[in-house]
Amino acid sequence: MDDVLKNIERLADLAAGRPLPLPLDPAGVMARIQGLEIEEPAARIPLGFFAGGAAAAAAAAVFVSILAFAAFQELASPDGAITSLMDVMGSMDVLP
Amino acid sequence: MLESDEEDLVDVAAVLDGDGDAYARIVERHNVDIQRQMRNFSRDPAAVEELTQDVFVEAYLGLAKFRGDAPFRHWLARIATLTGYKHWKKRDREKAKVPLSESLEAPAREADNEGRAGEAAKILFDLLSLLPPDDRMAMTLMYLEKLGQDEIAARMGWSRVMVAVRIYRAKQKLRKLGEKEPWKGRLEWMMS
Repeated sequence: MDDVLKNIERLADLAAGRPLPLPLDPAGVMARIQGLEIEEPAARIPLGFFAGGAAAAAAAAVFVSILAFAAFQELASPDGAITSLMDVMGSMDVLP
Repeated sequence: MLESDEEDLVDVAAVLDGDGDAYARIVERHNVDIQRQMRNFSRDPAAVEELTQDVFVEAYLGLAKFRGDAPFRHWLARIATLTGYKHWKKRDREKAKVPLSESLEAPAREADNEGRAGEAAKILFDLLSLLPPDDRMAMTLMYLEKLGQDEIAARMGWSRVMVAVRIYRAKQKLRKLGEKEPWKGRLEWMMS
């Protein structure tokens, strides 16, 4: 190993000799937790929100795509000429 | 299993049963270790205290997910690492938005009382802060928390290969940095 990395490793060993931090008063943590619990159920929102939010967003995206496709079909084929996705893609020369 | 691990299991069960005092005991038991860990993520004592509190709040909110198949302190250490990682990522995004002078870490008020060890920690912190967050995390866990590659992989949820690549890449960058001033001088002065 070269000198630079050796020196960095020694530096890390030296840094490990720092005095221990002073203990924190748990009251600060407990006050924050209590603050969250007062706001219950909002306190649990961050975790639930992301999971629930993601599921809702996915469902909404599917719903919007269905609506958009239905609207597209309606607009694209007022006379019923284009009736399915295969027809649409075929008409756009996407499929062989 | 250490005696404190058994006490943790008892206290976790008590917290889940609605005993708030049990969580204060957990905080009391682990806060020095968590602060020591969070010192690797910031040199500002106020930020270290806030990060430490963040860790315990996160742990409290996720306590029902603790399965008890590994010691509680390992579970908590992982939350601490991920909290520190989020802090760096956030700072990294902020650094991109604000002028450099405003985005620098607050000066280390503690380091003055920590002598040579504090000075070593300061140099190492400054040097590692030049790496991107992922590389910096790999090196921090390796050099400062003395974790092996498998442990880093488990702690971060990275593959073993990813850890090896990050360490290799970070070492290359550190080697280049350390061969140039001011780092060359700082490292040599420290080791003299």
